[in-house]
Amino acid sequence: MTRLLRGLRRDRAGLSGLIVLGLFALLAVAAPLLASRNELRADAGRGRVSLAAPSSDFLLGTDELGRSVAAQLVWGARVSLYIGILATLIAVVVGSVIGLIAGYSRGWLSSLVLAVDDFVLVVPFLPLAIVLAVVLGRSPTTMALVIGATSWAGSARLVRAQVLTLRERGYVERAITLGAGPAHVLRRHIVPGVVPLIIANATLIVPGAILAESTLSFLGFGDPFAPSWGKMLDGAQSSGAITLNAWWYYLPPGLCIIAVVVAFTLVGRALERIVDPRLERS
Amino acid sequence: MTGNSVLSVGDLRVTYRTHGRSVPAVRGVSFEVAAGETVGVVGESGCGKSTMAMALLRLLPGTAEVTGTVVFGGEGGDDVLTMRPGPLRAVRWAGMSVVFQGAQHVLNPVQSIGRQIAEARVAHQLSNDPTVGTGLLESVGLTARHAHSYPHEMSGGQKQRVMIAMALACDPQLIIADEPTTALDVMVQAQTLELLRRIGRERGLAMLFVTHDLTVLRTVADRILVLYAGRIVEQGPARDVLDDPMHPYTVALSAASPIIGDPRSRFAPSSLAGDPPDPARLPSGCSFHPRCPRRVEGCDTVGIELRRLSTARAAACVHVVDEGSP
Repeated sequence: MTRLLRGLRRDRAGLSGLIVLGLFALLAVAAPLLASRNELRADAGRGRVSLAAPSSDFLLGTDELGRSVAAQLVWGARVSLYIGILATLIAVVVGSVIGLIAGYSRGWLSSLVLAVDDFVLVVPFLPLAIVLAVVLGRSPTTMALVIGATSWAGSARLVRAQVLTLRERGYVERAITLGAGPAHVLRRHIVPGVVPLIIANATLIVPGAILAESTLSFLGFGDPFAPSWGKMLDGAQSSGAITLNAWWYYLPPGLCIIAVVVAFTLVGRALERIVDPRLERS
Repeated sequence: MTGNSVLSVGDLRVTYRTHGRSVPAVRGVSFEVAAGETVGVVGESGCGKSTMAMALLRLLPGTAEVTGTVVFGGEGGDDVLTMRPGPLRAVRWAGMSVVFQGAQHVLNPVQSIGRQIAEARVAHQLSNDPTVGTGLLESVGLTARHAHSYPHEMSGGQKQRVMIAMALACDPQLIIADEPTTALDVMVQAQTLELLRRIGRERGLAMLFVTHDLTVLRTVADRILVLYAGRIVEQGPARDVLDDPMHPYTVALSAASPIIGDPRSRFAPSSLAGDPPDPARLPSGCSFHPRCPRRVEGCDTVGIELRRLSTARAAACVHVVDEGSP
């Protein structure tokens, strides 16, 4: 863990990604201080000019209902990051457990788990996610569940590959020789060996999860009471903000999505370089 | 079967089954290890000695088919080969432990030495008293300070000492030393052998010492088994086997190392031509006959069982005169 942080400090791209992430995290945490939650209500903009250009009253203008775009952007950071991180946690935990089983077990169990993994890997994401989103209902948490449940297969593959190499090491053979059961070997020698990899992998799943959330929200499956950045883009699209050239409505959430995704990717790549010394040389 | 044997191996056979082929690596080995006794197992690479050692604790991969009996714990002891997983895990390390070759790969690079020595006690739910670990380190000539070291901070000899300390962690009755000195230089080798011998004596440990170096056994072994192509070709008290080898293979093995104090032996290095046979294509008759300098008519057709010379000695060769069935 300290090695990860030390390595990250030396990696300029990773460090700048980390700073950007820090700013967005601050934004999400401080949302109640920056904007009133009432601003998200459908009737908040009654009596105001809809799709008004940025002014001193509304720094990023208003949407089609006359609500502050800036307030939505600030609160949207919460929803987008919450969904992105929760979905990643689900994907990483499920993926790691599946990967450990697939890598460490032998025989039919390994084959079965691997077959399930392959199946999830090849099922097209969007149709499956849409079906799940419809069935499970709309809330940021179910959205995270949907995304997490459909994106663990890659990490499972990654963890399995690492477990396969670790299990052949001499110290694993020694542990088995000294009478250790599978639980001991996994806990003592295998899991510590895959954790750095899992951390690096997780940072690379977050941007995918945020994009997935934006996609689903943009397609109209988001929670209207907890607007994320993707939901804002959906609103901008359906209210005609793009044809009316109300750039203050669609540009900020779009740029925020890009910034967070790029930042996470930079941090993830940096962690990957630190964890896997082979990438550093190439 | 003598009453005080710790380990009694009967007709042990190991056959690897791969891609429809079956490769017999160990072909009917029987021997006993008495309490406190050190038995040396010697043979060239590929003669089945490591396979045999690993079979004793059922550490071979699933492709290996093991038959015979491996009774641990003297008379009334259980057969390791038919044990259920629970008792098997209990025998591993607490009954028989292993000093592996190549300590480099057997130590986890990211865990401290102390933690790894304690691992066996943790796995066996024994007391996790840290003084046990430091006591073990001190008994192998290291210091308590080394418990906080990591494997990369130690020399090869120190790591091998750690392996020995580890093998002692659960007070086993028998240690299987699988070429413990192979990767070490001669000086460190001598120190490690001395250490093993001293610890074996002090603790009354039985030891099964697997090596390809016959001279190493002069220091440690009470009795020697010579393995060739998965079979015992000669066995007997260490001094007798080393000084007066009966089987042509043992003769060749001992002639391969120079005798200190005999300058002539240094200028006449005698080596055995050829390689040990491929276990998948064993020669007919006596497996050693294609390389044997004393081959006679019939060696290539008739296999020779172990012939007993005295109560302690036996060899499998036509030139050995049988003095009673083995």
